[in-house]
Amino acid sequence: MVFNILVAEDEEITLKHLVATLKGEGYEVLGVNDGLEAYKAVESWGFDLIIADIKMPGMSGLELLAKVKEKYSDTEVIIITGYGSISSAIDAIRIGAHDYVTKPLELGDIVSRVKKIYEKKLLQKQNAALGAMPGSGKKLTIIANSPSMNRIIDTIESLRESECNVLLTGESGVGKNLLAKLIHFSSKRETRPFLAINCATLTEELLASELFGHEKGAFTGAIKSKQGLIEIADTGTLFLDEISEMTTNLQAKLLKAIEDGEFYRVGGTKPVRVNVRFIAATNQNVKALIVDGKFREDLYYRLNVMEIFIPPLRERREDIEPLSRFFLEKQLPKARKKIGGFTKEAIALLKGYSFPGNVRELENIIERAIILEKNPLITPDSLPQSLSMFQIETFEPGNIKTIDELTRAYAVRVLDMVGGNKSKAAVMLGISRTSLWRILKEE
Amino acid sequence: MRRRNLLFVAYNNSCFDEGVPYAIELAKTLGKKQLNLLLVRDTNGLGANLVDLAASVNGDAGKVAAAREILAEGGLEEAEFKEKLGRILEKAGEAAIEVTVHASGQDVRKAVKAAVGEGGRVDMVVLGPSLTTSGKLSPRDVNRLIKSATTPVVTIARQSACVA
Repeated sequence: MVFNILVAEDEEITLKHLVATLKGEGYEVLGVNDGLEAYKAVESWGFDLIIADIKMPGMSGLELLAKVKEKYSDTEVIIITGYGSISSAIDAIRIGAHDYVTKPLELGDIVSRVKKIYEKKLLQKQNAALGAMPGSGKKLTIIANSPSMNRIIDTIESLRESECNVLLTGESGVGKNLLAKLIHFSSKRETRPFLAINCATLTEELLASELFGHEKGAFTGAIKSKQGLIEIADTGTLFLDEISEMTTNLQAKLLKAIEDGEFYRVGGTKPVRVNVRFIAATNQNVKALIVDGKFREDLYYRLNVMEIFIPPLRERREDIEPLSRFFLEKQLPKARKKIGGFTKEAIALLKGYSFPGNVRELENIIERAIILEKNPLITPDSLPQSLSMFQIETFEPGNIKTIDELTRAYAVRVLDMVGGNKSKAAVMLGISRTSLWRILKEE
Repeated sequence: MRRRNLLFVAYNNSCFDEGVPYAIELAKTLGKKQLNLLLVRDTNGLGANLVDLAASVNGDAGKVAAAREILAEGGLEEAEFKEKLGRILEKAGEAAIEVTVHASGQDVRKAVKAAVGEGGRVDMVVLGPSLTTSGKLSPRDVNRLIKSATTPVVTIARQSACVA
């Protein structure tokens, strides 16, 4: 974790020694010798910790402390004074100082106090991330009998050493969420936070607050400042599901966070620096959204460093049987039933279904079948009636080109070649003008 | 935050409700919050606009008249429609899915295109058995509809057709 410290001390030698010592410990340190300069630095950059002398030109240490605590409650402050007195110590602690030390300073003592604050903040961040990290520590199982899924697993394996952003595409229910976790937990960031958010379920304002956090008073109800998911996911991975539902305003803010590794909380004036890997997912045609102006092309290219398309279940039917067995084993303990597997007829029925809801639908069907089944094996009777009553087929948009469509597209191309001259186009195509008109009229 | 919905399309006859329970389950699986039920004339209509039957319940006289006309053309009595709709609403309510009903005088492809283009966001189109098994919609029509769709299309065909 990057830990930023501001040292505000008007005694040049003390300032120099403190800055050098803390930098030597691996912290990012800025030194200033004026209270007002210190406050300007806080406003511009934001710090995790301020070490401030109680008496400084421009603004006293206690004034600085009060101003910082009012606006940036997350920032810790250690007050230093050469004029140690009980009353100034009490004042400092009352205003919100984390600690109070007297001169002459013992650098070892300062280092030790700073280290305690650093560890506390690190723990706070990890706890926030752990609380929001679904399935942490659970084994991830990917069922892949089909060549297409095996290729995807190989691709994820090849990403093990990479930190690149990934875009997952595919229909609803194919398993984008699970694959995002697999990518994270197979990577060098596996021990770092993994957080997820669905961009379609929140309003723009709530999504902004969830992602970027907010400062105290940023809006009605913001009674204290809050870290956003991007901040909590620092050094880890943030999964943005249904990214195509994000408004273009938020897309711009997200782009800045990705490009610069820096963003502002809602209502914030100081930048927050992070190191986050982004995995995004969508079931929409993003390129079409870019053409319609609903998705930023520059953001698309930042997220789409690697794109992984997950095919629908109907295009990998060899995964249906192993998936069904997996869900049966997974759900049986809850149901407290003894069901050994599936009849051939039940498997045939499942394999013949086109699963518009993909893997999620299969899991629901198996869960329901377990509840209804009274036999030692799952039979067609416990599968949804619609599977045997109806012939259900699923088609992806724009996937089928009819002969008419192909003919029309070719006629349009020829017409373009001859500058829109229909007579010339008809001659080139070897058809009458009337036939050409009929072809072009088709929609 | 968009409304996530599924469009179920059927002819305006007494078989309109066939396949709706399946569509409700599918909507629930996919996390959709709304099911739009679109009833279309089973002959080529002449420029009738999309009519909101749900709104007609609130007493928009013009819309009620237009809806009655479209329903009557398909031989669907209002009483029968309301009874079947009641059962649909009950099942949808159990699944926490909101149902809205629309009627259109346009042909299926134009009606679906208009419905998908309307404000509320359609994520999937389901063509009910009353369309696909009646023989009135040719495979070529279905193909053209699928081609022009911007969302996945699910077709439901019954083994033995419901008699309208």
